[in-house]
Amino acid sequence: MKILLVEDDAVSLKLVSTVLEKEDYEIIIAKTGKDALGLLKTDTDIEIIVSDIMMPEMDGFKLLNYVKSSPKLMRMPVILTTAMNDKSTVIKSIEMGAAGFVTKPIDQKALLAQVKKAVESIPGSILVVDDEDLIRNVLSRIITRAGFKTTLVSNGDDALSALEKQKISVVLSDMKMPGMSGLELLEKVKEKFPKIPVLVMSGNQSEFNKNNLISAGADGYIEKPFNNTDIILKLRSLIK
Amino acid sequence: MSFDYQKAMSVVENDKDLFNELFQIFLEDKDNTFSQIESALQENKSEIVERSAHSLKGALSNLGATTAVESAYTLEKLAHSNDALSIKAAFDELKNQINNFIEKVKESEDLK
Repeated sequence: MKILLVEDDAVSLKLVSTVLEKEDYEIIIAKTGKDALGLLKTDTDIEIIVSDIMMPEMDGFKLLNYVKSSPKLMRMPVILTTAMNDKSTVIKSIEMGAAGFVTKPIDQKALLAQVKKAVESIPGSILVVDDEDLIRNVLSRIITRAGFKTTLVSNGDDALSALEKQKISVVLSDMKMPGMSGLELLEKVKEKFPKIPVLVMSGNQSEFNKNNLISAGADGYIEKPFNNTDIILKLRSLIK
Repeated sequence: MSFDYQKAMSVVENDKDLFNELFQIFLEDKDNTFSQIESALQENKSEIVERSAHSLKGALSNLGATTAVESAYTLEKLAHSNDALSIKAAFDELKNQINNFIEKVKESEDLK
């Protein structure tokens, strides 16, 4: 788990990075909001931001605003730190969408609790299951552009093992695949991971099959050839 | 209190080595911050004074420098209202309090 730490004061920087590294978080440092933006553009492994508020050039509020208004970054939790402790700053942070707020002197336990909560709030991957390379790649591009992570697999068995191993928010599965069919996969996912929504995609489904999908617990149906907007809107409605 | 040992230890959760490391960083950094404030005073850039004072306040609060934190806060507030005459005096007071803090840390038996 990689955290972008934005802090212009060297003492606070050392303290916060030491506390987070002790808990095995990977830290990348920016000393100004502007540097932070540069890193956010180039380093796609960053999952959380811990940022000071008062900094030269671009302050923590502006950074938070940038993150929350970028479709790609808007789900990234931002925890703000500050030596201010007036109520209005805390309220402003929360209203602007900060995931947490830590005042200086830094309370290690409070900081770690907020980071842990932020980690839990990060959506998992969208698991794309399709036997066709081209479709997987197109879907991956559409979905990552909307700010979600993707995990790509070509069959039902690999899908089930991905579900065992990592945090998955939604399964997006083709119906017609060699080996395990989409319907079988749907049934297995609903049995083993009942909380994970499944969207199924297919062309030319008869009414009979659509009814089967509904009784098997599908959370949505995407007609092929698919419409990009339709996929993103359905994913968004499933990931709150 | 120039140096509140208990407070400092609660921040680092009794890790004296970490405290010493933070203190060294502070010592290395402070002259730079002081000269930033000094040139900002000459150029009448009170927003830089405000930000530097704020940054010092954060650093000092993590080190248990209670009185110096207050002085940094005073300077920050005066810089915010751009009160040129009092800013200079407040900066001198902050430097004094920081020196007191540094002395107290260096004298501290608990840290040895």
